[in-house]
Amino acid sequence: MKKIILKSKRITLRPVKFSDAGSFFKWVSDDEVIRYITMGRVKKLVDEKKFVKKVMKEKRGYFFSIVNENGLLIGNTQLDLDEKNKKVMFGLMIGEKNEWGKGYGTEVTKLLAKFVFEKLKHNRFELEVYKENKGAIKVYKKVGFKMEGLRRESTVSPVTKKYADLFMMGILKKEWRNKK
Amino acid sequence: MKKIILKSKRLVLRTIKLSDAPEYTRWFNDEEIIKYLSTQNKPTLEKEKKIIKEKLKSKDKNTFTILLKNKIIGFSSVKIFKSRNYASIGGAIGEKDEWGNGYGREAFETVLDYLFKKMKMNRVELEVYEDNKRAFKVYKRIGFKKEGVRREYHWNLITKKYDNDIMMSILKREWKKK
Repeated sequence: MKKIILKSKRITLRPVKFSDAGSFFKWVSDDEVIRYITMGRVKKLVDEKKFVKKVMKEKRGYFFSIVNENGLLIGNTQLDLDEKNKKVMFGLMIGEKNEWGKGYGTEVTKLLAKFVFEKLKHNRFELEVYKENKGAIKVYKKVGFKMEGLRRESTVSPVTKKYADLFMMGILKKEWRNKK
Repeated sequence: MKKIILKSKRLVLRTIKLSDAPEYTRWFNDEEIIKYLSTQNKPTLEKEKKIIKEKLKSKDKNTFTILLKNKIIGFSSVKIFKSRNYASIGGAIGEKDEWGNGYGREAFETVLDYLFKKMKMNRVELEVYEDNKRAFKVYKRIGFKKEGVRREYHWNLITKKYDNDIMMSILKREWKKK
């Protein structure tokens, strides 16, 4: 895992630490939180710890914990870098439900887009999102992501255990303007 | 990966062997072929042997070598995403004098049959360069549906430009073997 700290007005993104595993586990044990994530359910704390250890060893990406202005750990976010094609895949989870609806998702997405285009100098920033996850889609559109298509039945919901459709969204460097 | 043999009317598809390396090396150094492949880094014979060894160790991937009678003419690679019950597939007919005979389609249909019936996959997807009109047509004829266009998805090392990618898929319920 590559290491760096990124900051915006309210948010700090710092490298994931092993001691974050407890919070992560609490989040992924909550159906309401994982309803729209593409990973399977994690059953035991020890499995979440293993997962954190694994991503800390992973070389080609970033895995950040999201800390708000009060120093509270509220979520995590992941970047997967594709150096050949100069593109970055992105995943985000705000796990603390009390912190939902405060615009943190938008702030994190903007901060990362800026990092991807201005610092990493990559050409494309992309993500996948559940078709039903209207709130997240709105956030991504606001930041400038465009709808590119729908991968039918390409994931299994960890809650309903049913196949679900994922929208593909992307934003290109030439489309990126930093909205301050 | 498991050693598998699949047969169709004219072709045999079997799991890749180390001794296939010379053919693969020749194809992957031919710009006309790799222009529309996602891997474009022109391996030496030694490097290709290493790649094949790695592939043989993988649990979720399988590469089939396509044979016409006893001649190696191409390949098809498969990656299985078990937790989501889908697979992605790719490939090419590397022997250019065998182009235009429908072998690509026949090979893909054989692999699809294996993935849906034997492996019980629910979805099979593929990525195709938007400029690769000929392949796109073949995939449509097989029954793949276009799901979207990911803009500037590939940096093409051969043409030195960004290329759009078309995402296509076929679902189990859409697949009927003719």
